[in-house]
Amino acid sequence: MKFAFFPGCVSRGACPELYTSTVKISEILGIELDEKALESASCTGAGVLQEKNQLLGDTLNARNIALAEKQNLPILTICSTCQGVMSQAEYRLEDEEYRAQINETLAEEGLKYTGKTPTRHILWIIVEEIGEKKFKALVKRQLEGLRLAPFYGCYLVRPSKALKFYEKPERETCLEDLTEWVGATVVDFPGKTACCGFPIVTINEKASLKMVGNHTSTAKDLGAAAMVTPCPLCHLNLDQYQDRAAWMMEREIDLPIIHVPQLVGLALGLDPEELKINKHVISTKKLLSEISLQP
Amino acid sequence: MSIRSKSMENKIDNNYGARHAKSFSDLIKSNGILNEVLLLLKTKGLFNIIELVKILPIAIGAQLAGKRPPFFSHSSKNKDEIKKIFKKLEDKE
Repeated sequence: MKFAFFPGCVSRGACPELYTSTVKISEILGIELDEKALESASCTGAGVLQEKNQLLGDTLNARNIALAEKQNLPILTICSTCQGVMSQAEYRLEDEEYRAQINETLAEEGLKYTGKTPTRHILWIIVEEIGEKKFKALVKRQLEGLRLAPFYGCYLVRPSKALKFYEKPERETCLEDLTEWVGATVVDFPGKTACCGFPIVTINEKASLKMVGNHTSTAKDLGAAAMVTPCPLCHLNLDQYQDRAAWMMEREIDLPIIHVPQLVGLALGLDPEELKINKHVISTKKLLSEISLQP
Repeated sequence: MSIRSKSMENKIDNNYGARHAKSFSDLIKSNGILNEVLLLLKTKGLFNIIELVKILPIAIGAQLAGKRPPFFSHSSKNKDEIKKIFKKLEDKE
């Protein structure tokens, strides 16, 4: 399976451990990542650009996808926000007139968007493409006894039409499914599909901290040893701002937030250091000792 | 169009929300991809000492965990094409 790798801005910025762990697990899962195909790609706009100018945002995303199409490769993303924003663009680009309008701009660079190869998040690829049987055969370290709270955030669940839930109903529970495939126990909590607060952290920090505090403390109180998320932006907010949220709530939380590729890597038998699982603000030492791994 | 965009159109733009949206767009236009450090600094205001001091503990925590984004981030290999698209479409809504 070969993909045009779209790492997004954050995995090359504030979450380098996401990039590293993705590359490591891909080697084992038989996923070939072509990093050159999208060297000329741009940021997706993360919904911020689209807020003011949808045509501009959609043109940039159509261009990114067209760059991959030129190499006959589908795009693999590792960021829910990138995935969600691209899926929304793909959905709007199903309209022929709109697609023609955007292709007119892309033609100036010799590109054409066809939409024949939909972009997919690595979580979807593992669940849909590799599948339970093949994945379980690769698991070398069963994470039995580990209680994990899945946290989707917004972009991999809304809007479900653009994310094609009607064609792929498994997308609705893919994070819980993967958590069970690695042998861990799912800690279900009501906030798992709510916003993490990241989009407003620089604008209204108090409200954002309240969201971080609510999600992490609820999961912790339900017995979770860690939270797992497919979104690096959710990770950043829930990890980096957790101490401040705990201080605001006048309680201890201390809940590690791990990326999907780090969870997969642990199950595949990779060393925690290779997965940079120590590169989090909230310590993962206790989590690793729970699965009998030295921090 | 969002409430934020409407307020910006009506020149209510001296606030974190408006500066965040504008800086985001400017950074993609100039670099192709986002520079997280510059986005934060431009949103808060380069000379907004009080706000910058407030985020210092978060920045130190990120630095210690090895998660501080680089000051000079990656850029897209073909920035000129991205700039051309901006030039053509940024005033169209």
